[in-house]
Amino acid sequence: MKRRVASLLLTLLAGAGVSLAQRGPFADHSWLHVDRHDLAELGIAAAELTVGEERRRELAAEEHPFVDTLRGYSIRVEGRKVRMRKTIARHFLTEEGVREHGNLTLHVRAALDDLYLQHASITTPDGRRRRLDLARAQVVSDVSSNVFTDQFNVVLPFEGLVPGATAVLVAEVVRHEDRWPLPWSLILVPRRPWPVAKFELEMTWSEEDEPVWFSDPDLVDCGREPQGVLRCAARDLPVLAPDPEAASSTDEIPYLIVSEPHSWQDLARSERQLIARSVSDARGLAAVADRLLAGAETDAEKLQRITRFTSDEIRYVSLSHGTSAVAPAPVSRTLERRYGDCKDKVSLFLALAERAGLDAFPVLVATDRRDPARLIAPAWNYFDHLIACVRTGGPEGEVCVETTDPHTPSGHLPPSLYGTVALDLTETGVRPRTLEAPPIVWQIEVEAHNTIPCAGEFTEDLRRQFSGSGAGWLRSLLRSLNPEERDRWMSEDYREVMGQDWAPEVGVTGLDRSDDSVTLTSTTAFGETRTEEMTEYTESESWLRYYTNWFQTQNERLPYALHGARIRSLTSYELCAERTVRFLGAELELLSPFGELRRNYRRIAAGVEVETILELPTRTVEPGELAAFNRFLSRALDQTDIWFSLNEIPESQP
Amino acid sequence: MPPWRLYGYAVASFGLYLPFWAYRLARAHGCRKWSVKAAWALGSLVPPVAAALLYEFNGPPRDDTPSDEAPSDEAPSDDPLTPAARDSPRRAPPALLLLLLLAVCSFSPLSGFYLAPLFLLPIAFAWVQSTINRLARASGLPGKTAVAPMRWWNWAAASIGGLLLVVALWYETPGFLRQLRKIEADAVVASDSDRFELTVPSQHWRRVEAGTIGDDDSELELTGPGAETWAVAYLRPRSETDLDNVIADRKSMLFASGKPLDYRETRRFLAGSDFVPVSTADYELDFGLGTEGFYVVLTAETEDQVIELITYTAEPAAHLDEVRGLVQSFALKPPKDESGEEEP
Repeated sequence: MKRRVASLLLTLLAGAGVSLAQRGPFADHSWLHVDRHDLAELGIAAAELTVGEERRRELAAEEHPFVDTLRGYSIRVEGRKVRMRKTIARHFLTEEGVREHGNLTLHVRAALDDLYLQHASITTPDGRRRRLDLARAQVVSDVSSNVFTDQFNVVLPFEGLVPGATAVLVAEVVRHEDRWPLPWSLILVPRRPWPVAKFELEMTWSEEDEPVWFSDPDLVDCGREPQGVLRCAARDLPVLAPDPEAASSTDEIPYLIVSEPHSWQDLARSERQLIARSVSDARGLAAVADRLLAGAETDAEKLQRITRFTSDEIRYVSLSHGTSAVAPAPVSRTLERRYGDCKDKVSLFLALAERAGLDAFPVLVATDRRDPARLIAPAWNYFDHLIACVRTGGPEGEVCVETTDPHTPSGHLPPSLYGTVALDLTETGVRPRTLEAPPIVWQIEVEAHNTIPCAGEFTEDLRRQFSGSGAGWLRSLLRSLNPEERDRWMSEDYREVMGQDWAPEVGVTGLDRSDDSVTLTSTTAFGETRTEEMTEYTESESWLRYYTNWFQTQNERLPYALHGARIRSLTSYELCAERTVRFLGAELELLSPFGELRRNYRRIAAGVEVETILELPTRTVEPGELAAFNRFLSRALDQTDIWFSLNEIPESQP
Repeated sequence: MPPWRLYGYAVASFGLYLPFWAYRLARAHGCRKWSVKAAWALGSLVPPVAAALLYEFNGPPRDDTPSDEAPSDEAPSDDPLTPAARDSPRRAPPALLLLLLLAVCSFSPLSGFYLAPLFLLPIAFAWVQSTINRLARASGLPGKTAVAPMRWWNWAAASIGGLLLVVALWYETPGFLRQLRKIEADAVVASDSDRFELTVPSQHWRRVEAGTIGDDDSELELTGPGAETWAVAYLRPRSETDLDNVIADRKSMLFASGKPLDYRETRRFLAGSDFVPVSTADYELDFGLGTEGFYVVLTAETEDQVIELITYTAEPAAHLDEVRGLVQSFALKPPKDESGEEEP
């Protein structure tokens, strides 16, 4: 009996050991494989991985920490399976290069990809090559708050790196595009923010699988050879340094795209099918819709209620595993879970809009792009976000809704979305465009009531109100703070403009309801004052200056996308009974092609009121206009000091 | 002495000769000692005035003066002026003429104000001399004249005065000639440094020399219609001041010059400019004694300069529109680079 138990235990242990051995190093990641090959087996000549001594000296003199001696791609298209072998050879020039870039990373979508690690080695400065253990690769999930995906980074920390060494990594990604509901496409970026000595692409396909490719001009030399072969190459690519003035650094990056043949219309159709599938399962929607829309008489009111529901009452959580990265969850599930990501919320919104009789449609958004012309070929990869738009009969033509933003009032988008590239997922006329900003995006009103006693404390009651998109921005900021942090922020915000000497009593209204304006309030005592000898009063329009400076640009070479602003300042002065206003300051009428600043004074019962309005409509300020634009703002602000004179106090009778 | 010689001596000596002549005349025809001393004192300041006063107090009696009120006992016995001559109706007091000339020059656009009396006043004295000569001939005393021959001090005065005259003519003649030129209506007048220009609204405007109305460093001075309408412009380096400071200083100055009745200011960007701010301020002031005036002050700030155009009229009802028209016509000209060429 004992012998049997022991035997059984041994068998179990042996079996476990065998299983362990058979599990391999990436047992938890069935998509990740080790498939060792020599460079020669992979058809890669070691000589291709080096850079000449003279070039190395040049790069060292230019203080580059490393150079990619080869970035190679070998792509084979087999129906809806795309194999891409990626070769990276990196030569390190400095310790800094080793420290910061000694790990090479591959990015995969576990639901789509199988990754085969084929070769990793280093060549030391003295020419010896040492193979690395591919099993040492680290798998790191691509994590961000509230976003759960099956995207991973596979990182190889190279051992024994010193300046003068070269690391080589070869891996093959097999992408099962048949699992992907959208037309496949790959975007390759030959130029990098570091030197690339050699870029090579070889793409092959069978006759019925011929892909299409597009490239930014002068990026790579491509030639199509017979029997389904495309070769592209480039040498000594310039280092990528996006202009800091560019509205979109992504737009500045030249790229090469390969994809299956399809049009924007095809992409839109595929996306609409995914959304339609989500909307088709709308159990529970009717009750929600009836409750939401009860009593709503106008389309505007219905739109407002639907917007607030999807934005405020469905929190943002993204479960983007597999095709869920692009396919929205069924509406019923989103309603049940009370959470979803942008595509889930948009599907819900569209379903509600349909019940409300609103003409709504989904819109893909590339949040990091500003120029539709930079989308050189149809591809889903450009877009990272989804919103909804509703056609209206009003002058604006459409109203767009950002369902993932619970802070911005209905009818407005967050300022960061205006000007981004968008693709309407409609049945006709599908082409990239931008989300146009309205004439005024930022509406700021500053009202200051100053009490100037004959003898006593000079006090100011200040209200700063943000409406529209600006309200969303401020509400988002303040809601993220706890009450103590909020008070501290508001006090510091006040003191930044008015000086550190003052201790305002601060407050805020409008945080609770997202369709309201947000108003910052403050009451400040500026100390004792005696006005008997005061003959005139002068003051700088500090808040007007402060907010106007938000809209000045640092650009000198590239266009500046101005999001329109209307800043209104109303400053009143209440004087003591013995003082009256004698003469008023300058009326302003400062006009320019970029906007205008106007001011007028009004005598009121207790003193004087000064109203100043600056309007800067939305526009693109072209490079030739940048200096003039800043000059207009600067010179206009220089004229805005407030002034008025006071009567002389008669000498008191004995 | 021939009248023409007296005239020549007077002009060449910048008027300095006239007190000598008048003193001699006074001595010849009766003298009040205190007036002689006063004349010598005044003579160093404004010779024609001194001469006129001296003559006035000590010259031959006027037509309406009875013969028995003739000069004192010290009157020489060879006084060529007979009682009949003293009653001559054809004498115009030089002082009166001088006052007329002073009045004309005060209200005239002519500058070099002292040049007019210098050239015109001696005519009166020459006329007096011719009268004396005629009376002397009539009295049968051909060798006796009211004026002694030239002495060394006469020559000294003539030399110094002559030098002053040459300098004054050299300095004043261009401006004087310019003053005589009419400015046509709608003509464009440029500032001295050619930095800005104005369009004159009517033919009643004249350009006058710097310092006539404003300070000597003014850029442009114009007189306008009516008794007291004018325009003066100044340029100041931007490095030393700015628009707000210039306006504040001018406001203080004008508010202190009279009781402010009204003040209004507007600011805009100058049309066609690179956002050059321009302030236009109206000042209505009460100077007392029923006198009011109206200023329209334009102030512009360029990259390198602050330009101030001060216009004034004492008759706003009649001339304010013209003054405003002048101010509104203000236009900048492109600054010249160091070579004197206009910058693009």
